[in-house]
Amino acid sequence: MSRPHDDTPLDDLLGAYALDALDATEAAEVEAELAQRPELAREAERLVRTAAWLGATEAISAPPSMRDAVLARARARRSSSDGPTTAYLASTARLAETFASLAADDYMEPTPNGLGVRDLVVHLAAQESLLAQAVDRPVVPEVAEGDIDARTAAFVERYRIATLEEVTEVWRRSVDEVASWAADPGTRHETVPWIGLDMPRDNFLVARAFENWIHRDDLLRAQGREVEPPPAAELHEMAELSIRTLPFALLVTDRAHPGKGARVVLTGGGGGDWRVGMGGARPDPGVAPDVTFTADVVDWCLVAGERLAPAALVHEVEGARELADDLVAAAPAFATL
Amino acid sequence: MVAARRQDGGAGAGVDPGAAAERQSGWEAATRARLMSGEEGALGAVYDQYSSFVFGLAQRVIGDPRAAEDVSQEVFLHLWEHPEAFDPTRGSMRTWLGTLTHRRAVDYVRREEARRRRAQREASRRPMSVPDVDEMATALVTAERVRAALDVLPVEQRECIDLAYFGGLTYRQVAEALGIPEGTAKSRLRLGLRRVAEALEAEGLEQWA
Repeated sequence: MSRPHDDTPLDDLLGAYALDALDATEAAEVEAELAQRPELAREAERLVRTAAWLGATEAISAPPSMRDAVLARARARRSSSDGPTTAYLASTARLAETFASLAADDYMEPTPNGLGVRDLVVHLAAQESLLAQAVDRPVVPEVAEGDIDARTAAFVERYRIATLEEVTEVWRRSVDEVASWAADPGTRHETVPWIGLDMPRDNFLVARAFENWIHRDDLLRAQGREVEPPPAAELHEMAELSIRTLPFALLVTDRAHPGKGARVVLTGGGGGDWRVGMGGARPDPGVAPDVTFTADVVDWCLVAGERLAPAALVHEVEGARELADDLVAAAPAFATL
Repeated sequence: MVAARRQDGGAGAGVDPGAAAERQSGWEAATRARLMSGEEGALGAVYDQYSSFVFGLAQRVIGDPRAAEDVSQEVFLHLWEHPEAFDPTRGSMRTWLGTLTHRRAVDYVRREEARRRRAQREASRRPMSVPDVDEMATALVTAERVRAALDVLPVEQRECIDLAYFGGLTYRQVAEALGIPEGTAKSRLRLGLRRVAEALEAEGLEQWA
């Protein structure tokens, strides 16, 4: 340090220091000195706090879009390596846009779900708020109903005279709660009680992303608009989940083939190549598959989401055809997850 | 509508500084914990309380709304990524955000070498605009109190502080802009800031947040 340690020269810089009015070299010198002299450090801290108050005279409204931008960037920074959360958040963002595009004369249009447009939105709010409840962050604590059909009925009654905006607000607050829960890295290995299962967090989020996609398509079709599949990375998460749950689906639909294995190739952006044990157990990677099944990844997901009939799925089979038939027939069991 | 909610000269009338400070610091500690667990709602709450303050300060120092928005966003994202850096026992969230915002804004100004342009404009103070969001009432009262504290300063100290703080100038540049010796600029900054500190403390403002 080049400056003398008497009380004057460096002490005199404290004001400039607190006002960020030193160059980098001087600021570093002051900081080194502060580390040595606690009483000077206290004075510096006091002046730094005072300086921070000066800006209070300048408050002006931030641009209205800034809040969303900050929160979106915050989400992206926390979840960039978290595919399931990204898929979930992206699906909710698209759904929110679609909600905003609904007009009063769309409300009664039928959807493949069996509900009219308005009631489908109410169903989604019921569903999403049930999610928030499942992760212990209830948004509508007055409705404890856990069975989704009963809950939807309760919501239809509760929001009978509400505007669609009020309903989508409940939905949005629920999404915020789930997003905020998922942003905690501590949840990565949690399970969530969902439809009677303890569902791993990632499966839970991807399953929701899947359902959001399917129901958004329902709304778009009801409006007479074009539908489009999710981006490849998100589609891959969904395809992956539908394949990973296949052994379970084969078991519950009574189509298990003990000792047999399949290779499933899904083509197109987001596709992949998987080995599936058909006996409800893990496949032995050393064993040649009994059947190789190839289909388009979007079509496969639509079958899994019950929006394309298994019989309508265009696919190729090499090997045991009856195994392939059972794979396709079991796929829609995923939709109930 | 903005002016209508202004309180007539009653800076902080009816507010009990002690109780308000206690409530506020409890909220800040809880908010920090929520941020550390990655709760997005906590960031939204901080944003709602301080966005006008952060953006207003950045805009005042930088002068360009786009750049001020970039700096403001980075300030909130810094809090999001490093909530542990905010220590509620050493000061309020407002002063922490204010310090961070000012440093970032000054860095920006110096990086962009916009200071010469700014120095001329900063010689005269701009009238204040006020936020029209929920924090407006608090912002107005706070601004009045800080302005009152600044008003105790002799004009030559006030001038130095304005140039350094809002103009983003170093004390050497302040000396040059005012045609005074560097030593004089240094001591005016320190004495002036000390006097403001005393006035704010007398108001109970530092703990009032």
